[in-house]
Amino acid sequence: MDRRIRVVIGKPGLDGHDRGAKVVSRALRDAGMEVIYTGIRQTPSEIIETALEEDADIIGLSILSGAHIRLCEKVIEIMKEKGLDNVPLFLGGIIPENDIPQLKKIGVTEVFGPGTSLNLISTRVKEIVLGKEV
Amino acid sequence: MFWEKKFNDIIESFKNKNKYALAKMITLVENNPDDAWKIISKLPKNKSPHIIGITGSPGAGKSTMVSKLVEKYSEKNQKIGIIAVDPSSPFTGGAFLGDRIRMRTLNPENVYIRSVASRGSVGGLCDSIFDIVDVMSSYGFDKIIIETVGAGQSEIEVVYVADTILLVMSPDSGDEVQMFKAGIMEIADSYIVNKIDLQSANRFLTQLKNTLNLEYEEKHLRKIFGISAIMNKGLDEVIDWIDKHKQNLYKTNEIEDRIKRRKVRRTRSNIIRKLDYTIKDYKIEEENLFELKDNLIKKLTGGKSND
Repeated sequence: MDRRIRVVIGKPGLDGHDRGAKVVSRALRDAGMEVIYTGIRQTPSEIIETALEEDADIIGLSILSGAHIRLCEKVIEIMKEKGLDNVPLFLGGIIPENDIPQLKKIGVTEVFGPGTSLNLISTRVKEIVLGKEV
Repeated sequence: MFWEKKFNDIIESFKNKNKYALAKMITLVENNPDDAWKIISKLPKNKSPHIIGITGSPGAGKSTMVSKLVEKYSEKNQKIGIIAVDPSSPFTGGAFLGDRIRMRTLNPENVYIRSVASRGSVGGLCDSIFDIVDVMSSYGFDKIIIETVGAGQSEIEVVYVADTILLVMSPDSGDEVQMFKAGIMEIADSYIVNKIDLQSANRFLTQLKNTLNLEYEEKHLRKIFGISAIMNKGLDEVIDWIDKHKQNLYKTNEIEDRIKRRKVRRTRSNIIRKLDYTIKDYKIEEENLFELKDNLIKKLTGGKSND
């Protein structure tokens, strides 16, 4: 087995600030993962289409616009529709603490707020993906 | 075997042209190189697609050109598979795969894009490339486009995989001396000078024409094009030429030579990959290098060393 973890990093919605998405992509790359970055201003369907074509083990979204709950609901709805419900979803960006329980309730596996160390993010992503298969 | 269960889970939807199953099948051959051939031999046979390799230095505009070409193919309702290769880190094995960003406008009904990491292979592709191409051929695309890593002069592996090779260049990418060098300049079937709107483009094109002297190579139909991918200029001529090149490969039987060359390279690549894995298993100390070599040869030849 020559397995590599494949991560799709998406930037849904209209805000074009993707520094965070790029920094996290780079950190996951440095932790030995294969990262597919979709670029900014993607619709939830476009991101899921990418995850599907790339056979992603996990999907990460970066959202700073405040629309995280609505966008995650939409993403998860499409994932179910397309049969991707077994693929974990994590989230980063400007996410108020208070919203985290609701996000987890609708199916987001992990939320990384501002200031989370890159090391923690890559360790958790690995745990989530590898833990899923055990 | 571990892969068999996964294979059985997806093979029916693969046959029914489910893209998700195609994506899973590619991962399966990529992650199980030793069993890839067994997996492939169980897949349905399909007519051979035209395999087009696109190479050139980073920033020459390969992804943008692929995107525009495929847009045109897609409008004609052709089914296209794209393999976009990017480098893996030699230190961590990780990769940042970003070529799809320039292919966002493509219609997912007709187009499948797969980003692939080079995983330690040098030469612009990955070791599993032959297997991935086979899986995509079986799925039933009209054309498969391979975009190489984009590292430069020695990035020539694509010549062993593709039927038709396009070298994308940008003006200002060096003088005649660069054009005389062996390697990437020799493998192209056509030379595409992108960003033709730049001031330096005409001079570069003239230099290229003088250096290559293509009039004397009618058999190969090699040709130089000036295009601007981003402005959608000159691509129709490239598309016509690609079709003509394919017809010519069959007319002159050159396709046979290229297929043979591909098979030899595939075998070599499999042996080297196996050797590489075997070496990685050894704890290498400098003073043991000769012993290591003997052990390796014995292991690979089943005990007989003919040093």
